Amino acid sequence: MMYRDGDPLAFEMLYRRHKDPLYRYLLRGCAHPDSAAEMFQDVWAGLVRARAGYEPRARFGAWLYRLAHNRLIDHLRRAPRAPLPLEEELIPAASEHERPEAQALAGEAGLRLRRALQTLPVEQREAFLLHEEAGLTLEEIAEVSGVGRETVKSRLRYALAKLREALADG
Amino acid sequence: MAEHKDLPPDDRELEEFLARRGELSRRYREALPPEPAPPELEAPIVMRARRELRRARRAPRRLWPQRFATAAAVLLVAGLAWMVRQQPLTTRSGAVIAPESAPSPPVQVVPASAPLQQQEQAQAAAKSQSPEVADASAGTEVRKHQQEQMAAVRAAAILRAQAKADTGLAQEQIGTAAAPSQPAAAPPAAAVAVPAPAPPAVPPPPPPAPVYSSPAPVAAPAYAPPPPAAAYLAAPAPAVAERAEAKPLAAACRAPQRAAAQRQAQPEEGLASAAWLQQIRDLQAGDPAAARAELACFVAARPGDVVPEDLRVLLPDAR
Repeated sequence: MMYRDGDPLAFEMLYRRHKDPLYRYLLRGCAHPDSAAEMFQDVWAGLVRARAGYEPRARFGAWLYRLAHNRLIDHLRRAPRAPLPLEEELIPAASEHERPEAQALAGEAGLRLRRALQTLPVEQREAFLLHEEAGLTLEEIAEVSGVGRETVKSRLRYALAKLREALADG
Repeated sequence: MAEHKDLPPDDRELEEFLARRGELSRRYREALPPEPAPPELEAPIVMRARRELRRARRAPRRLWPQRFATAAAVLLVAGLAWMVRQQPLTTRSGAVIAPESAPSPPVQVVPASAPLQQQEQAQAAAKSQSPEVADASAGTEVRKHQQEQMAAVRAAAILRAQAKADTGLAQEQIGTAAAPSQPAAAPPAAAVAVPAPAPPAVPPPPPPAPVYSSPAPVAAPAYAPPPPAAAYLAAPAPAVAERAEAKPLAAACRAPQRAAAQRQAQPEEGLASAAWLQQIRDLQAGDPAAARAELACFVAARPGDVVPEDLRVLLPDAR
Protein backbone atom coordinates (compact mmCIF):
# COMPACT_ATOMS: atom_id res chain seq x y z
CA MET A 1 0.00 0.00 0.00
CA MET A 2 2.89 2.28 0.67
CA TYR A 3 4.14 1.72 -2.84
CA ARG A 4 0.63 2.18 -4.23
CA ASP A 5 0.50 5.52 -2.50
CA GLY A 6 3.74 6.57 -4.12
CA ASP A 7 6.58 5.42 -1.87
CA PRO A 8 9.45 4.14 -4.09
CA LEU A 9 11.35 2.61 -1.18
CA ALA A 10 8.36 0.43 -0.42
CA PHE A 11 8.70 -1.13 -3.82
CA GLU A 12 12.34 -1.95 -3.30
CA MET A 13 11.50 -3.59 -0.01
CA LEU A 14 8.82 -5.71 -1.61
CA TYR A 15 11.11 -6.63 -4.45
CA ARG A 16 13.90 -7.88 -2.24
CA ARG A 17 11.53 -9.90 -0.11
CA HIS A 18 9.82 -11.74 -2.95
CA LYS A 19 12.27 -11.81 -5.82
CA ASP A 20 13.98 -15.13 -5.12
CA PRO A 21 10.89 -17.27 -4.44
CA LEU A 22 9.17 -15.71 -7.39
CA TYR A 23 12.09 -16.45 -9.66
CA ARG A 24 12.27 -20.07 -8.50
CA TYR A 25 8.55 -20.48 -8.96
CA LEU A 26 8.81 -19.29 -12.56
CA LEU A 27 12.03 -21.20 -13.22
CA ARG A 28 10.73 -24.52 -11.94
CA GLY A 29 7.43 -23.92 -13.59
CA CYS A 30 8.87 -23.61 -17.08
CA ALA A 31 12.38 -25.12 -16.64
CA HIS A 32 14.01 -22.51 -18.90
CA PRO A 33 16.16 -19.81 -17.31
CA ASP A 34 15.74 -17.39 -20.18
CA SER A 35 11.98 -17.72 -20.19
CA ALA A 36 11.94 -17.48 -16.43
CA ALA A 37 13.93 -14.21 -16.52
CA GLU A 38 11.62 -12.74 -19.11
CA MET A 39 8.51 -13.68 -17.19
CA PHE A 40 10.13 -12.38 -14.01
CA GLN A 41 10.49 -8.92 -15.52
CA ASP A 42 6.99 -9.04 -16.96
CA VAL A 43 5.47 -9.87 -13.61
CA TRP A 44 7.14 -6.95 -11.87
CA ALA A 45 6.26 -4.62 -14.72
CA GLY A 46 2.65 -5.74 -14.46
CA LEU A 47 2.72 -5.13 -10.76
CA VAL A 48 4.03 -1.61 -11.28
CA ARG A 49 1.25 -0.85 -13.75
CA ALA A 50 -1.45 -2.36 -11.60
CA ARG A 51 -0.35 -0.95 -8.29
CA ALA A 52 -3.13 1.64 -8.31
CA GLY A 53 -5.70 -1.15 -8.35
CA TYR A 54 -4.28 -3.07 -5.42
CA GLU A 55 -6.72 -3.52 -2.57
CA PRO A 56 -5.53 -4.90 0.78
CA ARG A 57 -8.18 -7.60 0.81
CA ALA A 58 -5.60 -10.33 0.42
CA ARG A 59 -1.97 -10.74 1.25
CA PHE A 60 0.43 -9.06 -1.09
CA GLY A 61 2.06 -12.42 -1.82
CA ALA A 62 -1.18 -13.90 -3.09
CA TRP A 63 -1.72 -10.92 -5.36
CA LEU A 64 1.84 -11.09 -6.68
CA TYR A 65 1.63 -14.81 -7.42
CA ARG A 66 -1.70 -14.34 -9.12
CA LEU A 67 0.11 -12.13 -11.61
CA ALA A 68 2.90 -14.71 -11.86
CA HIS A 69 0.43 -17.57 -12.31
CA ASN A 70 -1.32 -15.80 -15.17
CA ARG A 71 1.96 -15.01 -16.85
CA LEU A 72 3.23 -18.56 -16.49
CA ILE A 73 0.04 -20.05 -17.86
CA ASP A 74 0.22 -17.72 -20.85
CA HIS A 75 3.79 -18.83 -21.49
CA LEU A 76 2.96 -22.51 -21.23
CA ARG A 77 0.02 -22.16 -23.57
CA ARG A 78 2.17 -20.51 -26.18
CA ALA A 79 5.05 -23.00 -25.82
CA PRO A 80 3.63 -26.11 -24.20
CA ARG A 81 6.05 -28.54 -25.77
CA ALA A 82 9.30 -26.72 -25.25
CA PRO A 83 12.10 -29.27 -24.85
CA LEU A 84 13.49 -29.84 -21.40
CA PRO A 85 16.86 -28.17 -20.76
CA LEU A 86 20.07 -30.15 -20.76
CA GLU A 87 20.95 -32.04 -17.62
CA GLU A 88 23.97 -29.84 -17.07
CA GLU A 89 21.78 -26.80 -16.89
CA LEU A 90 19.55 -28.44 -14.33
CA ILE A 91 22.30 -29.24 -11.87
CA PRO A 92 23.17 -26.11 -9.92
CA ALA A 93 26.75 -25.29 -9.07
CA ALA A 94 27.74 -27.04 -5.87
CA SER A 95 28.91 -25.11 -2.86
CA GLU A 96 32.63 -25.31 -1.97
CA HIS A 97 32.03 -26.66 1.52
CA GLU A 98 30.01 -29.68 0.36
CA ARG A 99 31.70 -33.07 0.13
CA PRO A 100 31.99 -34.63 -3.28
CA GLU A 101 29.72 -37.52 -2.36
CA ALA A 102 27.08 -35.25 -1.01
CA GLN A 103 27.39 -33.15 -4.06
CA ALA A 104 26.91 -36.14 -6.29
CA LEU A 105 23.93 -37.38 -4.35
CA ALA A 106 22.36 -33.99 -4.20
CA GLY A 107 22.98 -33.46 -7.89
CA GLU A 108 21.46 -36.76 -8.83
CA ALA A 109 18.44 -36.32 -6.58
CA GLY A 110 17.99 -32.82 -7.75
CA LEU A 111 18.07 -33.99 -11.32
CA ARG A 112 15.44 -36.61 -10.69
CA LEU A 113 13.32 -34.14 -8.78
CA ARG A 114 13.47 -31.58 -11.54
CA ARG A 115 12.56 -34.18 -14.11
CA ALA A 116 9.71 -35.36 -11.96
CA LEU A 117 8.49 -31.81 -11.57
CA GLN A 118 8.48 -31.29 -15.29
CA THR A 119 6.56 -34.47 -15.89
CA LEU A 120 3.81 -33.37 -13.53
CA PRO A 121 0.72 -31.83 -15.10
CA VAL A 122 0.82 -28.05 -15.02
CA GLU A 123 -1.90 -27.74 -12.40
CA GLN A 124 -0.24 -30.16 -9.99
CA ARG A 125 3.19 -28.64 -10.50
CA GLU A 126 1.80 -25.17 -9.88
CA ALA A 127 0.01 -26.17 -6.71
CA PHE A 128 3.18 -27.78 -5.37
CA LEU A 129 5.40 -24.79 -6.21
CA LEU A 130 2.93 -22.21 -4.90
CA HIS A 131 3.16 -23.80 -1.53
CA GLU A 132 6.73 -24.94 -1.49
CA GLU A 133 8.31 -21.85 -3.04
CA ALA A 134 5.79 -19.06 -2.47
CA GLY A 135 4.58 -20.29 0.92
CA LEU A 136 0.90 -19.79 0.10
CA THR A 137 -1.85 -21.49 2.09
CA LEU A 138 -4.46 -23.82 0.61
CA GLU A 139 -6.99 -21.00 0.41
CA GLU A 140 -4.51 -18.66 -1.26
CA ILE A 141 -3.48 -21.33 -3.74
CA ALA A 142 -7.15 -21.88 -4.54
CA GLU A 143 -7.66 -18.16 -5.11
CA VAL A 144 -4.60 -17.80 -7.31
CA SER A 145 -5.46 -20.84 -9.39
CA GLY A 146 -9.12 -19.99 -9.60
CA VAL A 147 -10.32 -23.34 -8.33
CA GLY A 148 -11.79 -24.70 -5.11
CA ARG A 149 -9.92 -25.70 -1.96
CA GLU A 150 -10.64 -29.38 -2.35
CA THR A 151 -9.41 -29.31 -5.92
CA VAL A 152 -6.12 -27.89 -4.70
CA LYS A 153 -5.83 -30.62 -2.08
CA SER A 154 -6.46 -33.28 -4.67
CA ARG A 155 -3.81 -31.83 -6.96
CA LEU A 156 -1.30 -31.69 -4.13
CA ARG A 157 -1.93 -35.34 -3.21
CA TYR A 158 -1.20 -36.50 -6.72
CA ALA A 159 1.86 -34.27 -6.99
CA LEU A 160 3.31 -35.52 -3.72
CA ALA A 161 2.73 -39.14 -4.69
CA LYS A 162 4.52 -38.74 -8.00
CA LEU A 163 7.43 -36.84 -6.52
CA ARG A 164 7.78 -39.43 -3.78
CA GLU A 165 8.01 -42.16 -6.36
CA ALA A 166 10.61 -40.20 -8.32
CA LEU A 167 12.80 -39.75 -5.25
CA ALA A 168 12.35 -43.35 -4.16
CA ASP A 169 13.64 -44.70 -7.44
CA GLY A 170 17.00 -43.31 -6.81
CA MET B 1 -1.50 -36.47 17.08
CA ALA B 2 -4.30 -39.01 17.43
CA GLU B 3 -6.20 -37.15 14.77
CA HIS B 4 -3.10 -37.13 12.66
CA LYS B 5 -2.74 -40.93 12.85
CA ASP B 6 -6.36 -41.49 11.88
CA LEU B 7 -5.93 -39.77 8.56
CA PRO B 8 -5.26 -41.80 5.43
CA PRO B 9 -1.61 -41.88 4.46
CA ASP B 10 -2.13 -39.47 1.63
CA ASP B 11 -3.90 -36.96 3.80
CA ARG B 12 -1.27 -37.37 6.48
CA GLU B 13 1.46 -36.67 4.03
CA LEU B 14 -0.48 -33.68 2.73
CA GLU B 15 -0.95 -32.27 6.21
CA GLU B 16 2.76 -32.60 6.92
CA PHE B 17 3.60 -31.05 3.59
CA LEU B 18 1.32 -28.10 4.26
CA ALA B 19 2.89 -27.68 7.69
CA ARG B 20 6.36 -27.86 6.12
CA ARG B 21 7.23 -30.86 8.23
CA GLY B 22 7.10 -33.45 5.50
CA GLU B 23 9.98 -35.66 4.39
CA LEU B 24 9.36 -34.66 0.83
CA SER B 25 9.74 -30.96 1.59
CA ARG B 26 13.04 -31.65 3.33
CA ARG B 27 14.40 -33.66 0.46
CA TYR B 28 13.12 -31.04 -1.99
CA ARG B 29 15.04 -28.30 -0.21
CA GLU B 30 18.18 -30.44 -0.05
CA ALA B 31 18.07 -31.51 -3.68
CA LEU B 32 17.19 -28.13 -5.08
CA PRO B 33 19.02 -25.38 -3.24
CA PRO B 34 17.40 -21.97 -3.33
CA GLU B 35 18.48 -20.28 -6.50
CA PRO B 36 18.47 -16.48 -6.31
CA ALA B 37 17.02 -14.23 -8.94
CA PRO B 38 19.61 -12.92 -11.40
CA PRO B 39 21.03 -9.72 -9.89
CA GLU B 40 21.22 -8.00 -13.26
CA LEU B 41 17.44 -7.93 -13.38
CA GLU B 42 17.04 -5.84 -10.26
CA ALA B 43 18.24 -2.49 -11.52
CA PRO B 44 15.94 -2.13 -14.55
CA ILE B 45 12.94 -3.33 -12.56
CA VAL B 46 13.49 -0.86 -9.74
CA MET B 47 14.16 1.98 -12.17
CA ARG B 48 10.97 1.25 -14.05
CA ALA B 49 9.00 1.31 -10.81
CA ARG B 50 10.42 4.72 -9.89
CA ARG B 51 9.77 6.10 -13.36
CA GLU B 52 6.17 4.97 -13.18
CA LEU B 53 5.72 6.70 -9.85
CA ARG B 54 7.07 9.96 -11.25
CA ARG B 55 4.77 9.69 -14.24
CA ALA B 56 1.82 9.07 -11.99
CA ARG B 57 2.60 12.19 -10.00
CA ARG B 58 2.68 14.28 -13.19
CA ALA B 59 -0.33 12.75 -14.90
CA PRO B 60 -3.15 14.29 -12.85
CA ARG B 61 -2.07 17.80 -13.85
CA ARG B 62 -2.53 17.00 -17.54
CA LEU B 63 -5.96 15.52 -17.20
CA TRP B 64 -7.84 18.70 -16.52
CA PRO B 65 -7.11 20.51 -19.78
CA GLN B 66 -7.99 17.38 -21.73
CA ARG B 67 -11.27 17.03 -19.94
CA PHE B 68 -12.19 20.64 -20.49
CA ALA B 69 -11.28 20.41 -24.15
CA THR B 70 -13.36 17.28 -24.60
CA ALA B 71 -16.35 18.82 -22.89
CA ALA B 72 -16.05 21.99 -24.97
CA ALA B 73 -15.85 20.02 -28.20
CA VAL B 74 -18.89 17.98 -27.30
CA LEU B 75 -20.88 21.10 -26.50
CA LEU B 76 -19.83 22.76 -29.72
CA VAL B 77 -20.82 19.80 -31.85
CA ALA B 78 -24.14 19.46 -30.08
CA GLY B 79 -24.90 23.13 -30.56
CA LEU B 80 -24.09 23.05 -34.26
CA ALA B 81 -26.19 19.97 -34.78
CA TRP B 82 -29.12 21.59 -33.05
CA MET B 83 -28.79 24.75 -35.12
CA VAL B 84 -28.63 22.84 -38.38
CA ARG B 85 -31.65 20.86 -37.42
CA GLN B 86 -33.66 23.99 -36.76
CA GLN B 87 -32.98 25.63 -40.13
CA PRO B 88 -35.48 24.91 -42.95
CA LEU B 89 -34.38 23.95 -46.44
CA THR B 90 -34.27 26.80 -48.92
CA THR B 91 -33.35 27.17 -52.60
CA ARG B 92 -31.05 29.74 -54.11
CA SER B 93 -33.99 31.89 -55.06
CA GLY B 94 -35.19 31.78 -51.50
CA ALA B 95 -38.26 29.63 -52.04
CA VAL B 96 -38.78 26.98 -49.48
CA ILE B 97 -39.18 23.61 -51.07
CA ALA B 98 -39.37 20.04 -50.00
CA PRO B 99 -37.61 17.14 -51.54
CA GLU B 100 -40.80 15.88 -53.17
CA SER B 101 -41.30 18.95 -55.27
CA ALA B 102 -38.19 18.59 -57.39
CA PRO B 103 -38.65 15.42 -59.33
CA SER B 104 -38.57 14.85 -63.04
CA PRO B 105 -42.02 14.00 -64.09
CA PRO B 106 -42.51 11.43 -66.82
CA VAL B 107 -43.47 12.52 -70.28
CA GLN B 108 -46.31 11.25 -72.34
CA VAL B 109 -47.32 11.89 -75.88
CA VAL B 110 -50.67 12.99 -77.08
CA PRO B 111 -51.39 12.24 -80.69
CA ALA B 112 -52.14 15.03 -83.07
CA SER B 113 -55.76 14.18 -83.13
CA ALA B 114 -56.09 14.34 -79.41
CA PRO B 115 -59.43 15.79 -78.85
CA LEU B 116 -59.64 19.43 -78.13
CA GLN B 117 -61.75 18.64 -75.17
CA GLN B 118 -58.94 16.68 -73.66
CA GLN B 119 -56.49 19.51 -74.01
CA GLU B 120 -58.93 22.02 -72.68
CA GLN B 121 -59.65 19.82 -69.74
CA ALA B 122 -56.02 19.57 -68.94
CA GLN B 123 -55.44 23.28 -69.22
CA ALA B 124 -58.51 24.03 -67.20
CA ALA B 125 -57.36 21.65 -64.55
CA ALA B 126 -54.00 23.32 -64.51
CA LYS B 127 -55.50 26.74 -64.22
CA SER B 128 -57.95 25.69 -61.60
CA GLN B 129 -55.26 24.57 -59.31
CA SER B 130 -54.18 26.92 -56.65
CA PRO B 131 -51.14 28.96 -57.58
CA GLU B 132 -50.06 29.22 -54.03
CA VAL B 133 -47.66 26.40 -53.79
CA ALA B 134 -45.01 28.15 -51.87
CA ASP B 135 -44.30 25.27 -49.60
CA ALA B 136 -43.59 21.62 -50.09
CA SER B 137 -46.96 20.36 -48.90
CA ALA B 138 -48.87 22.46 -51.43
CA GLY B 139 -46.66 21.25 -54.28
CA THR B 140 -47.25 17.69 -53.28
CA GLU B 141 -50.98 18.20 -53.27
CA VAL B 142 -50.88 19.83 -56.68
CA ARG B 143 -49.01 16.92 -58.16
CA LYS B 144 -51.35 14.50 -56.54
CA HIS B 145 -54.34 16.34 -58.01
CA GLN B 146 -52.76 16.33 -61.40
CA GLN B 147 -52.16 12.63 -61.22
CA GLU B 148 -55.77 12.05 -60.41
CA GLN B 149 -56.82 14.13 -63.35
CA MET B 150 -54.43 12.28 -65.55
CA ALA B 151 -55.89 9.00 -64.52
CA ALA B 152 -59.37 10.23 -65.36
CA VAL B 153 -58.28 11.56 -68.69
CA ARG B 154 -56.52 8.31 -69.39
CA ALA B 155 -59.63 6.33 -68.72
CA ALA B 156 -61.71 8.58 -70.93
CA ALA B 157 -59.16 8.37 -73.69
CA ILE B 158 -59.19 4.59 -73.56
CA LEU B 159 -62.93 4.55 -73.96
CA ARG B 160 -62.78 6.93 -76.88
CA ALA B 161 -60.06 4.92 -78.51
CA GLN B 162 -62.04 1.77 -78.26
CA ALA B 163 -65.06 3.47 -79.75
CA LYS B 164 -63.04 4.83 -82.63
CA ALA B 165 -61.47 1.49 -83.28
CA ASP B 166 -64.86 0.00 -83.68
CA THR B 167 -65.85 2.61 -86.22
CA GLY B 168 -62.56 2.21 -88.14
CA LEU B 169 -61.23 5.72 -87.50
CA ALA B 170 -58.06 4.55 -85.73
CA GLN B 171 -56.06 4.36 -88.93
CA GLU B 172 -56.93 7.92 -89.78
CA GLN B 173 -55.62 8.99 -86.41
CA ILE B 174 -52.43 7.09 -86.96
CA GLY B 175 -51.89 8.71 -90.30
CA THR B 176 -52.61 12.07 -88.86
CA ALA B 177 -50.34 11.50 -85.93
CA ALA B 178 -47.49 10.34 -88.11
CA ALA B 179 -47.46 13.49 -90.20
CA PRO B 180 -44.26 15.14 -89.16
CA SER B 181 -44.83 18.61 -90.47
CA GLN B 182 -48.19 19.43 -89.19
CA PRO B 183 -48.14 23.06 -88.26
CA ALA B 184 -49.45 24.10 -84.98
CA ALA B 185 -52.57 25.72 -86.18
CA ALA B 186 -54.12 25.70 -82.81
CA PRO B 187 -53.13 24.51 -79.47
CA PRO B 188 -55.28 21.44 -79.48
CA ALA B 189 -54.42 20.22 -82.94
CA ALA B 190 -50.88 19.36 -82.13
CA ALA B 191 -48.80 16.59 -80.80
CA VAL B 192 -47.16 17.76 -77.75
CA ALA B 193 -45.08 16.22 -75.10
CA VAL B 194 -46.12 17.32 -71.75
CA PRO B 195 -44.98 16.22 -68.41
CA ALA B 196 -47.41 14.10 -66.58
CA PRO B 197 -47.72 15.92 -63.32
CA ALA B 198 -47.96 19.31 -64.93
CA PRO B 199 -48.02 22.19 -62.53
CA PRO B 200 -50.85 24.67 -62.58
CA ALA B 201 -50.93 27.82 -64.64
CA VAL B 202 -47.95 29.99 -64.08
CA PRO B 203 -47.03 33.47 -64.99
CA PRO B 204 -46.57 33.98 -67.84
CA PRO B 205 -49.59 32.18 -69.17
CA PRO B 206 -48.90 28.89 -70.84
CA PRO B 207 -48.23 29.30 -74.49
CA PRO B 208 -49.94 27.19 -77.06
CA ALA B 209 -48.57 23.76 -77.46
CA PRO B 210 -46.75 23.69 -80.73
CA VAL B 211 -46.11 20.72 -82.91
CA TYR B 212 -42.64 19.41 -82.99
CA SER B 213 -41.52 17.30 -85.80
CA SER B 214 -37.82 17.03 -85.17
CA PRO B 215 -35.52 16.42 -82.35
CA ALA B 216 -34.96 20.13 -82.05
CA PRO B 217 -36.08 21.54 -78.78
CA VAL B 218 -39.60 22.69 -78.75
CA ALA B 219 -41.04 25.61 -76.92
CA ALA B 220 -43.69 23.51 -75.40
CA PRO B 221 -44.26 24.27 -71.84
CA ALA B 222 -47.62 22.68 -72.01
CA TYR B 223 -48.50 23.04 -68.42
CA ALA B 224 -51.32 20.66 -68.61
CA PRO B 225 -51.66 17.12 -67.56
CA PRO B 226 -51.44 14.96 -70.53
CA PRO B 227 -53.59 12.23 -71.71
CA PRO B 228 -51.12 9.58 -71.85
CA ALA B 229 -51.52 5.89 -72.51
CA ALA B 230 -54.68 6.36 -74.52
CA ALA B 231 -52.65 7.86 -77.29
CA TYR B 232 -50.59 4.73 -77.55
CA LEU B 233 -53.65 2.61 -77.79
CA ALA B 234 -55.13 4.74 -80.54
CA ALA B 235 -52.03 4.99 -82.69
CA PRO B 236 -49.69 2.08 -82.37
CA ALA B 237 -46.73 1.89 -84.76
CA PRO B 238 -46.45 5.37 -86.04
CA ALA B 239 -47.03 6.70 -82.59
CA VAL B 240 -43.76 5.12 -81.67
CA ALA B 241 -42.03 7.80 -83.67
CA GLU B 242 -43.91 10.40 -81.78
CA ARG B 243 -42.90 8.84 -78.49
CA ALA B 244 -39.30 8.79 -79.55
CA GLU B 245 -39.52 12.42 -80.49
CA ALA B 246 -41.33 13.22 -77.35
CA LYS B 247 -38.56 12.02 -75.13
CA PRO B 248 -36.11 14.79 -75.81
CA LEU B 249 -38.88 17.29 -75.57
CA ALA B 250 -40.02 15.64 -72.38
CA ALA B 251 -36.59 16.02 -70.98
CA ALA B 252 -36.56 19.59 -72.08
CA CYS B 253 -39.89 20.33 -70.47
CA ARG B 254 -39.03 18.76 -67.14
CA ALA B 255 -37.07 21.72 -66.12
CA PRO B 256 -39.90 24.07 -66.99
CA GLN B 257 -42.04 22.11 -64.63
CA ARG B 258 -39.61 22.55 -61.83
CA ALA B 259 -39.07 26.19 -62.66
CA ALA B 260 -42.78 26.65 -63.02
CA ALA B 261 -43.35 25.17 -59.64
CA GLN B 262 -40.88 27.58 -58.23
CA ARG B 263 -42.43 30.48 -60.05
CA GLN B 264 -45.78 29.55 -58.64
CA ALA B 265 -44.36 30.42 -55.33
CA GLN B 266 -44.27 34.05 -56.44
CA PRO B 267 -47.06 36.26 -57.62
CA GLU B 268 -47.45 36.26 -61.38
CA GLU B 269 -47.06 39.96 -61.70
CA GLY B 270 -44.03 40.00 -59.49
CA LEU B 271 -41.83 37.55 -61.30
CA ALA B 272 -39.24 39.64 -62.98
CA SER B 273 -37.50 38.64 -66.14
CA ALA B 274 -34.23 38.81 -64.32
CA ALA B 275 -35.33 36.24 -61.82
CA TRP B 276 -36.58 34.00 -64.59
CA LEU B 277 -33.31 34.30 -66.42
CA GLN B 278 -31.43 33.51 -63.24
CA GLN B 279 -33.42 30.33 -62.86
CA ILE B 280 -32.48 29.43 -66.40
CA ARG B 281 -28.83 29.95 -65.50
CA ASP B 282 -29.22 27.69 -62.51
CA LEU B 283 -30.74 25.03 -64.73
CA GLN B 284 -28.02 25.45 -67.29
CA ALA B 285 -25.43 24.20 -64.85
CA GLY B 286 -27.22 20.97 -64.09
CA ASP B 287 -29.55 20.29 -67.00
CA PRO B 288 -28.77 22.14 -70.22
CA ALA B 289 -31.67 20.58 -72.08
CA ALA B 290 -34.10 21.79 -69.51
CA ALA B 291 -32.46 25.19 -69.57
CA ARG B 292 -32.96 25.39 -73.32
CA ALA B 293 -36.61 24.53 -73.00
CA GLU B 294 -37.06 27.06 -70.28
CA LEU B 295 -35.35 29.73 -72.34
CA ALA B 296 -37.65 28.91 -75.18
CA CYS B 297 -40.56 29.49 -72.88
CA PHE B 298 -39.08 32.76 -71.80
CA VAL B 299 -38.62 33.91 -75.35
CA ALA B 300 -42.16 32.93 -76.20
CA ALA B 301 -43.59 34.62 -73.16
CA ARG B 302 -41.42 37.73 -73.22
CA PRO B 303 -40.65 38.38 -76.82
CA GLY B 304 -39.69 41.92 -76.03
CA ASP B 305 -36.99 41.01 -73.53
CA VAL B 306 -33.45 40.61 -74.65
CA VAL B 307 -31.78 37.34 -73.95
CA PRO B 308 -28.46 37.86 -72.11
CA GLU B 309 -25.34 36.87 -73.91
CA ASP B 310 -24.47 34.09 -71.54
CA LEU B 311 -27.77 32.41 -72.27
CA ARG B 312 -27.83 32.91 -75.98
CA VAL B 313 -25.91 29.71 -76.42
CA LEU B 314 -29.08 27.93 -75.42
CA LEU B 315 -31.11 29.42 -78.21
CA PRO B 316 -31.77 27.20 -81.19
CA ASP B 317 -30.19 29.73 -83.44
CA ALA B 318 -26.96 29.52 -81.56
CA ARG B 319 -26.36 25.91 -82.61
